[in-house]
Amino acid sequence: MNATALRRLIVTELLLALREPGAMFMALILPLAVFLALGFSVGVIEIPVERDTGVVEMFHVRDVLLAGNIAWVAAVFGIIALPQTLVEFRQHGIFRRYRVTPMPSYMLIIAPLAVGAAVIVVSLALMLVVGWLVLNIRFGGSAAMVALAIFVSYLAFAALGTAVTARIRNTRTGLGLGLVLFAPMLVLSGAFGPRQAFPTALQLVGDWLPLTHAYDLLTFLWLGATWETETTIGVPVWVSFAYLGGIAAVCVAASVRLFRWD
Amino acid sequence: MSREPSNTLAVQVASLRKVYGDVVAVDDLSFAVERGSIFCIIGPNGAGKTTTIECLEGLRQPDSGSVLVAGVDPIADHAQFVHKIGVQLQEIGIPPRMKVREALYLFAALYRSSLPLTELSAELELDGFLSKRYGSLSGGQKRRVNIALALVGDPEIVFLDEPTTGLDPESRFRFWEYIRRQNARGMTIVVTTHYLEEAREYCDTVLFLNKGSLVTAGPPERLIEESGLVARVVLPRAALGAVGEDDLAALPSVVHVRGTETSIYVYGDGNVVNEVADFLSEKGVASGVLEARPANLDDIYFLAVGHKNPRGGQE
Repeated sequence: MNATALRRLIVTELLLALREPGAMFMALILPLAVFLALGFSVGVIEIPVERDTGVVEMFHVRDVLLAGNIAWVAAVFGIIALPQTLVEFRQHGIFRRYRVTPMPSYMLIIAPLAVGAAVIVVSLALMLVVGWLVLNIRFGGSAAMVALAIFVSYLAFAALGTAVTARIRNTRTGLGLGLVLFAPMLVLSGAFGPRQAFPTALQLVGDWLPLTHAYDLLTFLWLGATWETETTIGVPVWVSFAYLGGIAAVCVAASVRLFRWD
Repeated sequence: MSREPSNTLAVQVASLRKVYGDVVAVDDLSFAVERGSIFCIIGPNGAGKTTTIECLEGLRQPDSGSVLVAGVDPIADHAQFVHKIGVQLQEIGIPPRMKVREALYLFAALYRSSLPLTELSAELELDGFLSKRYGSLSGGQKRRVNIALALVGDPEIVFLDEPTTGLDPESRFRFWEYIRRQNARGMTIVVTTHYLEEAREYCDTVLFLNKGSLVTAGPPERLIEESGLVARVVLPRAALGAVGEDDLAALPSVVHVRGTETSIYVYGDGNVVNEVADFLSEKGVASGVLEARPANLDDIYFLAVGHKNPRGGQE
C-alpha cells in the first residue's frame, strides 16, 4: 500500500462523506446556526474567570459556544457517521472486496476516521472565522490543550461508536443505535442548555457520559483552564482527559475482539 | 499433487475440502491451472463453484487440502498474493454512493501497475455511466464495473465469478474479446459460468463440478472425444408408439438414454443415428421424426451432472 493509494482512498472517502447531506448539515450548518443564534442572544452574558494569580478576566458566553459545539460535532462523527460508514462496508461486502486487493483492511477504518477529523477541523475553522468576524469572540486558553481535548474526545466517541456497532450488518440498525446513544447524551451533557437545571439523578447520569466530559473540557480549556481546574462535573480537567482516554482504550479493545469484517 | 510452487502452473489445488456445518461444499478436489490459460469451472447451482473460487481467492480457509496461486498460499502469503491477482465477486463490494470513475481511479491506485483506464472503460462499455453512482446502476452495469475493477491492476491471474450472468449477448461478446486480448498478453483467467457455449468457445480447459466433487476436466474437445459421444438423437414420444427408453438403451451404439414427458434423448457413438433410424423403421415408426446433431459440451454436462433436460423439463 503506497502513499498515492492512501491519498486516493481518503479523497474518495471525503467525496462520499460530502454526498451525505444529513451528516454535512449536522457537522457544518447546524453548529454554525446554533453558534450564531445563541451568540446574538445569550452570548452577551458575562462569565468572570478567576486566574490563579487572583486576577478576574471577563469573557462572554459567546466566546465558549463554539467550543461546546465542537464537542457534539465530534460526537456526531464518532458515534454516528464513522460507525455508519463501517456498517455500510460490512453490509455491502466492501471489507471483503478490499481484502482481495493490496489495501490493508485497517486502512478502511483509518480513512473515514481521518475524514471525520478533517470535517471537524473545517467545522471549527468555519465557526472561528464567523465568530471573529461577526461576534468578536475571544480565546483565553492554550490551542494545544484544546486540540488535544478535541482529539481525545473524538477518539473516545469513535471507539465507542465502533464497538457498539461492531457486529451490526444493517445501516438502519446502526443509525438507530447511534442515535439512541447520541441523543440522550446530547441533552444530559449540557451541550444544549445548562444541566444544572436538571434533577440531581439526571445530573449524576450526565457526569458519567463522555460527551459531558468532552463538553466541559472544551469549554473550560477554551477559557484557559489548567490540568487542575475543576469543571462542572466536579473533577479536575486531567481526570476528564483520563476518563475519555480510558473509554477510548476499553472500546478499542472491545472493537478488536468483537469487530466483524463481513 | 505436489505442494511445490510451479513456474508453469498458475493454480495448484490438492485435496481441497470445505464444509459448512453438515454440508460438504467441496470434497477432495484436485486440479491445476496452467499459466496463460483460460480455465472454466462449470456446474449446477450448489456445485461448489463459488466456494472453490473463494478458496483460491483467499477469502475462505479450506478445512483441509492445499491451494497455491501464482506459487504462493493465498492466506499465509496474503501480502504477496494480493499483488498477483484480480477478483470479481458475485456479490457487490462498492459503496453505493461511489461514482464509477472514482472506483476505477481508486482501484488503479492500489496496484503497482494498471491497465489503461480509457481503454478498459471503452472495452467494457463503462463510458456512458462513469459519473453515475454505483448504487444507481443496473445489474449488468454493476457487473461490468466489477469486472473492470478485477482487471484494472493488470494481475497475473484474474478470478471471475459468473462474470457474464445478466449481460446481453453484445456485452458478453465484447467481454470475451477483451478477456482474450488480456489472455494473449499472458494473463491467466479463472472463470465460473452457467453458459456452456462460452466455455466451449473461449476456454482452454473446462472443469465440471457437481455436489462439491470433480466430475471431469480437460479441454472441451477432448472431453467430448473421451466421452464416446458423437451424436444426440431426439425423438418425440408421441410418434414412437410402443417404443420406449429400454428398447433404445439396448442398442449397441447407445451410451445413454433419457426420457422426458414429451421426448426421448438418445446419446451414442458414431453409429447411433443409423442404428436408431433402422430400429424405428423396423418398428414401423416414420424415420422423419428423428432429429440428430453432433454431441457437444452440453451433452457431456447433462450426462455428467444433469438432472434437468435442455428443454426445461425434469427428467
